[in-house]
Amino acid sequence: MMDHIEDETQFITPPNMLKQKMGSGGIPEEVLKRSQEFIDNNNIDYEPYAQDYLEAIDGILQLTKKTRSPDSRVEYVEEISKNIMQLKSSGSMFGYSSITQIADTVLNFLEVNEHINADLYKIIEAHNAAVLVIINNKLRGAERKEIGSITKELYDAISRYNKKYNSQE
Amino acid sequence: MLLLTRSILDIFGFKNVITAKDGEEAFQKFCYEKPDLVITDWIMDSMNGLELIEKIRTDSASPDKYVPIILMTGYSNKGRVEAARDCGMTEFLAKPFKARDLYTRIVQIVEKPRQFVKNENFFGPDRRRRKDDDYAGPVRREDDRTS
Repeated sequence: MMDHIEDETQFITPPNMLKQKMGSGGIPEEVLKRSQEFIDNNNIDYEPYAQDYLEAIDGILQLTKKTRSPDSRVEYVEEISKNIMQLKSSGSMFGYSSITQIADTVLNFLEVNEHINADLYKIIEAHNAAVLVIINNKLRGAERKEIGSITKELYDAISRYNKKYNSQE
Repeated sequence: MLLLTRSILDIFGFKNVITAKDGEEAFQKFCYEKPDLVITDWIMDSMNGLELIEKIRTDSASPDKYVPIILMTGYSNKGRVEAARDCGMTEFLAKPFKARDLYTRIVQIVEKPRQFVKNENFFGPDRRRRKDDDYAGPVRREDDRTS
């Protein structure tokens, strides 16, 4: 199994068990199409999952606001990011592309920002409000005209934050 | 998401797809069932995806330290992707994904398997992509010209 050693590093080629079992040829295009149709048309009730994530985010946000420890605030925001990441991951797989877009924007924002304060909390609250409206009204898809007005407050809050804290960096 | 992924693998034609509800159960089933491929989420209860990968790669109870592992996650930040790579995943699948994305990762594992690297700091699939022998583009590095 071991191929060679370079500077105390071993390079190993393990047996390709999958290749032995699957052989060559791949999956027919028709099967791939059917798989994607299964994702696109699945009727799993997504709203309760999204509600759970929103409740978790809201609960952790309240703790973040209360704590006086900067380290705890960082940990809480990491937990909030985790839940927002789950919304991003799952939204469009259950027909809610707009949730994926919104959550992706906020996740990217949280991953790079260094200022945890009331302005950041407003962004998280605006994120939750937007997602809640989308699931309560079952606004599936990303191109619906309502999405623009629902997300306006969120994008305005991010814009204000960036102008205030990131314009001089 | 677990149900959705499992169903896609069923449609692909995979036989005997085994699922687990959290990381601990996943490792137990891995030890018992010895699967040919592991697909794990990053966020799981009891043991997250990175911990599971590390356990599969290094734990004495692991029956196959070389098993290909696809890590699924919605994180796409560079630092997180590098952390996942450094813990020994084979392929990274960003969520949300399309059926073709999952299929492409599986094809990559089957058709272009990575060598494993073992040294005092790391054990896992080679983190460098293999050189494409079919590359016909311009040669830019001095070393490439002279070798």
